[in-house]
Amino acid sequence: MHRTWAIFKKSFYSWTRLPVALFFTFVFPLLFLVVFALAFRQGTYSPEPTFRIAVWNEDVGVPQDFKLPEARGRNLGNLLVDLLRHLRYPETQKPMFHVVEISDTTDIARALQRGTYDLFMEIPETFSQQAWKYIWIRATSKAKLPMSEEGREFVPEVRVYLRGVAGTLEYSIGARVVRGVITGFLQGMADSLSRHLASGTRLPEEPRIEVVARSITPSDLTVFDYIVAGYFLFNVLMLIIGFTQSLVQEREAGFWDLFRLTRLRPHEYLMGESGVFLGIGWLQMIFFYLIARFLGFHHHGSVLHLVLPMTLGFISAMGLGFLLAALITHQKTASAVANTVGLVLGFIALSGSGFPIPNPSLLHLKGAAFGILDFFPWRHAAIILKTTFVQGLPLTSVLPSLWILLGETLAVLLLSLWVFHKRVLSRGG
Amino acid sequence: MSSPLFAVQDLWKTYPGDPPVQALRGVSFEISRGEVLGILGPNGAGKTTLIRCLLGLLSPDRGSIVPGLPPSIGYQPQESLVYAALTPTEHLELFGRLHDVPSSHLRARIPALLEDLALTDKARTQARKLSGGLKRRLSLLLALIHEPEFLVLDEPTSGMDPQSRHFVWEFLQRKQKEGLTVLLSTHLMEEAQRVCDRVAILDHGEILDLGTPEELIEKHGGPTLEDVFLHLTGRHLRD
Ligand SMILES: Nc1ncnc2c1ncn2[C@@H]1O[C@H](COP(=O)(O)OP(=O)(O)O)[C@@H](O)[C@H]1O
Ligand SMILES: [Mg+2]
Repeated sequence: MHRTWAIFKKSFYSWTRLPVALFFTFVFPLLFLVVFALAFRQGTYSPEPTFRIAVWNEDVGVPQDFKLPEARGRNLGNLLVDLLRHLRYPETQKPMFHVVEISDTTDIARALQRGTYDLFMEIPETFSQQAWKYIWIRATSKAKLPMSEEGREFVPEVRVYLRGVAGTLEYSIGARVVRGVITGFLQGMADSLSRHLASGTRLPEEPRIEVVARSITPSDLTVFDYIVAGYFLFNVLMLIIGFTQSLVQEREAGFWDLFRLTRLRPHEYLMGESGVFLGIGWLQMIFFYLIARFLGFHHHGSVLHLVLPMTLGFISAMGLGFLLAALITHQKTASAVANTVGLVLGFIALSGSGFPIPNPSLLHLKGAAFGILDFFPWRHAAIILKTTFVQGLPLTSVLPSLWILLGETLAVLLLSLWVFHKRVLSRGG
Repeated sequence: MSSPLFAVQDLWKTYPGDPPVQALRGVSFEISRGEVLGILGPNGAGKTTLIRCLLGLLSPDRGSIVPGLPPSIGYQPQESLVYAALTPTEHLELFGRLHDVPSSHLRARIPALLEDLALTDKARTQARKLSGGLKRRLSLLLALIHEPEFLVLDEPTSGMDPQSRHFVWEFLQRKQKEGLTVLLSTHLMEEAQRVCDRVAILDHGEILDLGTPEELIEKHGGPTLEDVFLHLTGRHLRD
């Protein structure tokens, strides 16, 4: 224990007596926090995405020989497009879709890849015909009317074609929403038709369809509130650059050789060094939490929900730092790698995990696309922070993220311990 | 001489590369308890490589140490290793604790050591503000904080002015009288002559001769150790 403590003190002094380190840990990030607060604390924000969808509507409408005279000539494809265009989130009145109708599909794959659209939907020629058949059969059976010969043997397939870039959140969520909308649309039509069939009144011009959606997130949160959560993590990632560099410098200078001739054990070194990193991380977190509160940050979850994911985030970052420091042979490479890792991680933080880009599906990772980002423990720390600490939902709503974060943290930590034992602090390396 | 502390037997080390560098080519010697053995050699002779192989910081390709190293070793590397932000006192506390020296002992020992190498004035100065010579003296103290029985010094006075150098030599002579066994590398004749009981002349990874300075001078007929050294290693320039 006294050896661990000696390492802790050494690193703590090395860090606190370095004005540059203090500046980059507290002063510099503070400037950003103030700018974010000034820019984003007005108005509320709820993480509701607007999906950009390109629609190719080839629907020719209900044919003139269709059984139900009132249905003839109607174009349900147009109706569907219109519906998508007007759907809004109930609380914020934010549109759910931004619809662009296109008639040329040659470039669509590229446009999807480039992210011009999140989704592409093709409504085929026969959409109205098939949809009406479906609506008719469903309505007659619901109204308990005798079913026609045709209805009994024919189960209509109503098709639209969706395309998107597999693995993107927008595609996996957007596709589900569209499917939900179409199902709701058809059932809504069938229900109102069945009511009219039962009462014998004429078919209405327009079916009334309601999409019931309710946001589970508190509506008083501002963009700033979401930014603060991501910002905490962003700082962890910045801290790990300095941490890794100081480890590599210490190693390159030859201190690890000196340590090998003492009684210091690898795990004691790791614990002492990580103690400092954790301590600084916590200090920084508390400091920025207080400042953020002062600047108008509010959160619905308990502070425990801040400390838990942050601590796991710290530990996994540290493990990575140890691994890099032990495995990389030259200081220049190490600095370059640490900087690159830090930057990449920074971008991850910025690209939606840390900052508020819509991610309702993050609550249920299971069915969602599992992209490369999902391998980064800090992404899950960000998810947990935003969901539990900021929005105030229980930890059970982010269990998958919690398990992934815990598992990865443990794995990285064990791996770095093993590498240290194997090749760093033992004699004769 | 008294009993041998250990013997180095047939140490070989080649650094891989293009071309590979044969830094040690079958180095063997014995070191006795209480003696100061000097490894005298020009730059690039293999002194540092020898020391690092001996300490187990580098794996030799071949060779062994019989019966093995003593458990308590003090090591001053060729480059002064100090933490810019720590004071000499804090350095000594750090390495003292890493060597399991009880705090109560350290409280008495640290001021005495600082006094020994005239660092008392700078005891509370961060190392970033110390001169190269002072850092060198501090790194020597770090090798001594746990009172090792075997001290290994890699060019202990390099970068020092003559005053500090003489001061350190006197310090080492006192330590020698206390019975400490020392292995030191140097390229300074005066250092070898003044502090070392025996000198091994090393060049191109081989020990060319080994003996007391007087024996070497007599054997090779040079008026000074320097003449012997130049006679054995040749006059061409080194890196
Ligand atoms: N890490 C290394 N890789 C390759 N060559 C090395 C390395 N360290 C030392 N050498 C070479 O090995 C030889 C002996 O070096 P060294 O032991 O440092 O000599 P000395 O300490 O006597 O100056 C030199 O030629 C040096 O260039
Ligand atoms: Mg050397």
